[in-house]
Amino acid sequence: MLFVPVLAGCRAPQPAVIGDAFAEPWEGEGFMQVVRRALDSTGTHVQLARWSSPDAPALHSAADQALRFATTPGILGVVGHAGSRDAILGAKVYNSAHIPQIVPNATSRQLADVGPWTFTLVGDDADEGAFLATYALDSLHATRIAVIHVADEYGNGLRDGVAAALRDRGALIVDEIVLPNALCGVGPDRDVQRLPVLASLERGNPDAVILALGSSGACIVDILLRERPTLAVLGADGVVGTDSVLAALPDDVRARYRGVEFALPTSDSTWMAFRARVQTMLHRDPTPSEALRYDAYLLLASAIGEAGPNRDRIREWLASLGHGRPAWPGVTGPVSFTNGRRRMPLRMVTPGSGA
Amino acid sequence: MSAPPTARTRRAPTLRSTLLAVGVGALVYVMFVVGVLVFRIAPAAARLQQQGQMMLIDYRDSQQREAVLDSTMTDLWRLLGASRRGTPARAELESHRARLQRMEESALASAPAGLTPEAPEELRSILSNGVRDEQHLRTVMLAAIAAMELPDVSMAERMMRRADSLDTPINDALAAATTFALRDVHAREIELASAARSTIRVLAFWLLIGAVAIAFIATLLRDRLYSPLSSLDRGMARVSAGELDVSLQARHDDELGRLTDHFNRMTSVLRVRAEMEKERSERETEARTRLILESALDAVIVIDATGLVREWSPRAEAMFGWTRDEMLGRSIADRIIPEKYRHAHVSRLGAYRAGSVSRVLNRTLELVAQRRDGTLIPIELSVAPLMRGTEMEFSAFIRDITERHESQAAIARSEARYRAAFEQAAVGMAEVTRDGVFQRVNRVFAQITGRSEQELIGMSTTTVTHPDDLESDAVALQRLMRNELPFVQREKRYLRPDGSVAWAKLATAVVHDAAGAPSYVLSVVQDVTEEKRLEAELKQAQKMDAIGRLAGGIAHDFNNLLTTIMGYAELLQYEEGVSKQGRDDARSIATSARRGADLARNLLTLARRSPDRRERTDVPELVREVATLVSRTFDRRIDVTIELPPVAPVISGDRSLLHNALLNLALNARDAMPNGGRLSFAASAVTIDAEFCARHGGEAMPGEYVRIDVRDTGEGMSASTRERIFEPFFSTKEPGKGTGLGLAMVYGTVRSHGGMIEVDSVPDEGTTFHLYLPLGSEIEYGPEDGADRLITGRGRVLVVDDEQAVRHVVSRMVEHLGYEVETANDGLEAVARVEHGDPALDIVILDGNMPRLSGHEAARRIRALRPDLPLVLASGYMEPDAGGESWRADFAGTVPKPYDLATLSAVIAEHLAPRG
Repeated sequence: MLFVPVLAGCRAPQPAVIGDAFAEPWEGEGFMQVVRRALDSTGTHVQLARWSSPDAPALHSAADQALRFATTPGILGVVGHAGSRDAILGAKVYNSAHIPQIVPNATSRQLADVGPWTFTLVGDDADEGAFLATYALDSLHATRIAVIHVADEYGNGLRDGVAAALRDRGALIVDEIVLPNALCGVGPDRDVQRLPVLASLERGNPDAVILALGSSGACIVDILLRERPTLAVLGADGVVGTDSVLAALPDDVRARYRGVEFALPTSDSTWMAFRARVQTMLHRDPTPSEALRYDAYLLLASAIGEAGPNRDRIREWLASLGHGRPAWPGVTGPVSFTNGRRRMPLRMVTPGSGA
Repeated sequence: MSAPPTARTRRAPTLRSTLLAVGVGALVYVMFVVGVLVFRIAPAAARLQQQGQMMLIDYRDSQQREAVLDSTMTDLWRLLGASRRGTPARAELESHRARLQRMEESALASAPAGLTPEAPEELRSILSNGVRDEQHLRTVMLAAIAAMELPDVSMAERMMRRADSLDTPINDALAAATTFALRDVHAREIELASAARSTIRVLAFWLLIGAVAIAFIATLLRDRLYSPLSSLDRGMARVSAGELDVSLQARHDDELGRLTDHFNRMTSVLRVRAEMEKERSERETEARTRLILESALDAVIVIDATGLVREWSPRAEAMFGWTRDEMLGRSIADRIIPEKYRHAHVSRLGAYRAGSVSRVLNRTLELVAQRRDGTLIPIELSVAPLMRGTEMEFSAFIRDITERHESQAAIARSEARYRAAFEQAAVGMAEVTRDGVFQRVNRVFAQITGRSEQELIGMSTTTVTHPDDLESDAVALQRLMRNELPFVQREKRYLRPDGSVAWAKLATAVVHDAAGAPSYVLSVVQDVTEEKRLEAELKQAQKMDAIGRLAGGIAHDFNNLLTTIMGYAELLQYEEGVSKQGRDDARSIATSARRGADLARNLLTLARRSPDRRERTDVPELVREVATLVSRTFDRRIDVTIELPPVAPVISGDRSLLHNALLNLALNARDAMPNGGRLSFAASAVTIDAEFCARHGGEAMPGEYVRIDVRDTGEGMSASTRERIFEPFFSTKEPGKGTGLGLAMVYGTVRSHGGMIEVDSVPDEGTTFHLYLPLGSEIEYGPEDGADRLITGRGRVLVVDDEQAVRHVVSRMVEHLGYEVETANDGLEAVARVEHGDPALDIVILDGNMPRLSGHEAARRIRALRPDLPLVLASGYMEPDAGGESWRADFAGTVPKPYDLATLSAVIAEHLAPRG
């Protein structure tokens, strides 16, 4: 295991260090160039200490990474981790070590209770589950709703949110299955994913299915849309990689799928500037997750610049946003916290339709 | 400033630096040992323990999960067979699916305990692969279950075979992890053992070094610290005990060495000063002794062990008449000890020298000494031994106590006189402490309180004082103690043991001691119980007299009215033309008037002024009559008994009043026994002496009496109630249940009969009334009752009355009897008529109570003019002091108002002077 701080600033006599807790390799490496450039433009000398071992075992790697950050000299805050489970593991370490943590897009309910040093930029899983259930009932007029989810904190939280919203409206989840968060399989592996889904459809006979999956979500969407011609499929924010699957489907079939994303202020000048910067550097539009992550880095850098290199004062500065201090103007909208949480509006989109 | 070290002093580091070096060395040593233990042994042991625990947890969890997966696998194969036969067990499939999903959730929620950042990379890899393979197996099994549910048997079979193929790698991974973990633990055990061995070697070496160091440090501390301090301690102890000839040896030139030098210089200075002080003190002592001897009020004599005088003070010269020069060197026995004591003195001195214990030394004795002129004087002697150098001497302080003896004798004589006066006084005397306790009482006081002198001494005054007098006692004592009054005179009551109360008149004063402080209280006590009782009797008599006068006045007027009413009513009965109904009405009016007359008579008993109506009364018969009446009418729970003498005593009295008196007593007894009891009547003849009569007011005469006892076993009375029961209108009964006149009338009845009454009552035990009535010798008989026939006659009758209505009706009555009537308005007019000659007058009926001239005076004057003319007194009430017994001589007879026609006719017929 290697831990190599990557210098983000230069020639700073005593640079501040921000932990970048996104360990997975991702296609957005180029996006980090956007971030670094933005950090340089703030005038605050910060270094980004990154996790650079994507081959590390998945389990416990988040806690390992958090411990490394906690012992890194000059560390003033951490951005991450990706996903609710890792964010919670890391949050326990950061709250013990009194290190401010900004979580850009993890939605676990437990993040709100883990301690005063953790700040989340989006709402929690239960809120999203309730949003999906309400959409299914009110917009799709569904009466029989099933849930397919991963068995981790994210999937369970979202399932609970759906169940609570349905219960409030006098309905129940007609069937629920758990699937591992694996990549889409082919051949026998595809059967392994397909068969439980088909059995669930047989048992519950749903008219809408809510997916709380990760990387396996795309192939499950494909299975569901192909196997049931009238079935509506709603994907939570964790369902990724659906573009290629949906592109291979006819329009009428593709139209039965809706995905959740955070409602960003796309007409806002800040957003427009951010989008233009990304388009210039990466030749594409930024994703909502990228926007949230961008805000997290810049927000932490602003806190360091305002409060100075002192973790207690940085935490107090973050906690005071919206409470005696104006909300911070992020590309995802004004940022303020109540008990470490920020409420973000959600919206349903049909991939490829732009809405 | 420090003194230079002595020649034998060695140079050495300071004590402070030595102790600092020792302390730092000890601290480093301890830290080293602790550090070895903490950094060598503890981490290795902790790692070993942690690794073992994690391995155990992981192994147990893996075993459990593997067992569940194996069981599920077996069941799924069985269920697959059932699916092939077309009978899929959906409930079981659902159960297995739910179980596998729960395992999935719990696997994601918790990682293997051994998968820590500190775990070896190889173990982490093995555990991670195991977790991943397990998850894969669960996924495939879930797919198999789904295929069976669809149902797609062939697909389910494919999935089951795939699951089977995944099971083996999982077991292999588990075995590999277990093997690796055991190997790792073994390696850590070896590491721990190695660390422990090396640590023990290091510790043993350093313990040896420590032991040597401790010996060295102990020697160093003893030589540098303990020995000098101990030497200084002993030296200081000797100095503080007064020994100044002390010099210590300093061994090192350090703080303690310099301290020792300072100590030595200090003791040498102190020695010089002490010598100078001693010489000065001896000179002052000598001078002071001389001064004391000369100024002492007592004679001071010093003798040696052989009895020769060594010192003789001026006071001794004055006391004994021998000068100092005459006495120094002379035997004291020859000069001031009387002849008869000399031998004993010489013997005791010799015995003391031989070692005997003296009975004289250090004591104060009273002896007799002899003066130069041979006279003897009493002295007070104190002798104390005195060491002068090595010789034993005795100092004697002698005081002439002649005056003291004389004053003590005077005090003793005074005390004896006081004691005699105190003991033999005719009045009670008591000495009471300031706390209110009797400290001395005389015989008379003891008699007053009804207790013995020994019993009273030590007793609180509150014990014998009536509760109502306690407050006034306290107030009087306070005023005396505050010197507001020189003495206090007052009356108070003492409670006797038998429950009776003694009244006393006290004169109390505070006696002060020689310093002027209050010492005790002296009371002179005079028994006034008898005076108090007589005073109460007098008050009662006066009260009754006043009421009697009131009743008498009323009775007079009342009887006049009744006379008129009764007269007209009777005349009406004899009037012609009156109907029978009218006659009956007139008779009823007359009867009511007679009852009214009885009421007036009862009223008069209150004042013992009942008109004379004495008759022979058989007391036993009277008592029996009342007892019979009450036994028939009272509650059956009241037992009525009588006890009568064999010979019936007879008295002269108003039987009706006596009957009423006994009945009143019986009624009171009944009311005192609401729950029943015993009411007894008794009568007996007794002889009363003059003392007894005097005790009851003095009106009764000594002689033979009959005593009637009325006794009940009721509630009894308190002393205060008993004192007031004969007061008119005093009642303890509820309002409306008693007039308060019953016992007053009893009292009046008894006294009007010349008798006496006594009451004994004890609360909750009962009450007894003793009625003493004089036995009758001259019995007078009143007019016969029932003589209702009219005796007519002829003659001239003068009716004298100041009441016009009475005059008119009596005139009509007299005319009705056949007589001629003349009337006079009062006594003066009656006398004038007789004086101016009215020879036809045959009899005069005179009212006794008239204005201007009373009936008695009028009678006396008429008698003077015409002694032969019979006079009859007609009176409703006669003042007892209006002429006393002499009036009887002026009147031929009496007729009490109101009277009826028959009585009037009988009286006139009896006394009318026969004409010519």
